[in-house]
Amino acid sequence: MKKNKVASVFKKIFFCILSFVLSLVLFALSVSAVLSMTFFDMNSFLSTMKATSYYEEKKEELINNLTDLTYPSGLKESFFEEMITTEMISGDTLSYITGFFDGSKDVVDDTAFRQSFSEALDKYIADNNIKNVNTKNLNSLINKAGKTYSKTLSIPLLRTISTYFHFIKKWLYIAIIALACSAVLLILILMVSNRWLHRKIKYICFATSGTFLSLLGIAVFLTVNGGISHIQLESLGLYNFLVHLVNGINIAIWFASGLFLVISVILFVIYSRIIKETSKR
Amino acid sequence: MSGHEHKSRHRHKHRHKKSSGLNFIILPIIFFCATYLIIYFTLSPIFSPVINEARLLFSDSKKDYSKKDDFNNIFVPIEENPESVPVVTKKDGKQYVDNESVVFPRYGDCFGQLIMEDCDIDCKLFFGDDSLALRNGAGMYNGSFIPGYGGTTLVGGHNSTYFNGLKNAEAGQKVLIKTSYGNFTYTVTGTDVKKYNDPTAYDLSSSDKSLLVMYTCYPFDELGLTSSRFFVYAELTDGVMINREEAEE
Repeated sequence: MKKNKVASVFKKIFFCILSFVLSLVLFALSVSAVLSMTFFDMNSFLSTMKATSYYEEKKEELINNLTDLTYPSGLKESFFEEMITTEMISGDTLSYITGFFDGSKDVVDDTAFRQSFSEALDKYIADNNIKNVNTKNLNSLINKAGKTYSKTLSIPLLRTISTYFHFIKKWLYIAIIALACSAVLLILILMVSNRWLHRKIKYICFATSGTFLSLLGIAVFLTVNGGISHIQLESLGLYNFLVHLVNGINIAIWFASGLFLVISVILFVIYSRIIKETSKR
Repeated sequence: MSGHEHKSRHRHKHRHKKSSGLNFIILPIIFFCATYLIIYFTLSPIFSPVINEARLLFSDSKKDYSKKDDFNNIFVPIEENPESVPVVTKKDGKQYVDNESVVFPRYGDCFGQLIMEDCDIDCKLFFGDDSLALRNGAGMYNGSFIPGYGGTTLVGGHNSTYFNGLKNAEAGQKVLIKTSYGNFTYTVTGTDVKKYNDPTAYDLSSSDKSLLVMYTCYPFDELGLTSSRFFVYAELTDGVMINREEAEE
């Protein structure tokens, strides 16, 4: 009799530990899935850029930066307003982001810009009949403008997190599959090892409730702190993009948290009904 | 089954149900705490360098992007408020501006006005020579001395805008710098064209004389980035100096 009681306590502890492991696995799975659909998804990056008018903001920043550079040469904002298009910016940003996600390059290609700038300068010189032109100084201006273009369009934070980003991205999908398999395996163990249905449901419910709380923790933390709205960046375009991206991640975590809450409530209701029916019988 | 046995079993069932109900609250909370403890101890050593670096990017308040083209103007022409500059007379009989009344400019502040009538120059004077300053006037290199403090004041401007008139600079012309703590008149002593990195172009370490060095890109009106600079050298000829000794104390 005593032995049975001890065995029962150990069994309970064992199943609680299994339930906790399942909770941990479900939490890791949810976070990985959310990240793979947002931060590690190139399309999510590009659609967030579109939604936050990133290209329009970058165009304005570029015009400002290039005007600062070319003020001594007498080139005004109107010169760049005609020359720089959002299509040029979005095209170069697309190849930059694609290169970053591929791991092939992490610099913005300024070839198309240099070409356009050079042509626009030739036209400007011809239209304004400028004779005081030194080819060396002009080339120096084109090179500096190219660097300004490349620097304005690049995302400095990406270079900082590059090593981590590519490491996580490389293993993320494998991790998701492994975590999903582990979750299924743990659920199967809990189902097979327990004789009674209410116990099977109970331990799974513990796990889903734990996952719900853990996800809620992140979601509440991000919401209370306003996401990353206090980040100090020079570029308004980049600020809007990052804040929007993190808000998207926050919404996805709220959604995942809500999903686990619903699952937990359903499991609890089923569990209660079984207990009620058993006690009636 | 006796009545006593039945009662005891009923009590057991009831207790079981109650504790089981509590488990639905307690266990998820324990799981939540344990999850974060595990995350903290396993991931924080890996990600702490990134987290520490990321922390540097955050501040207590949101950045105000609407003020990106605004600058702080601390310049009040002395003519508008002559009593705002108290002077002290030192043992040598000379008068100096009481340094306690001087509002020293911070980087990016507009703290004066630069006028050179002969060259048709009249612009704001900024402390610092970043693009915002050069877009709105002339910028004083923040490693040089402010006018009235002694030493060399190095001021730059664009040759296509505010400093375009420097091409007409000649020795003997007057340059007036107005600040909230005094007006300073300089007399041009000469001009020169030098490379932008020529160390002989000016000497910021010398504090014997009150000098003004103005410079802009050279040649004037040329399209492209030039490596030469046009320098205008001037010497202070009129103005009440700041009482520097007390300021240094």
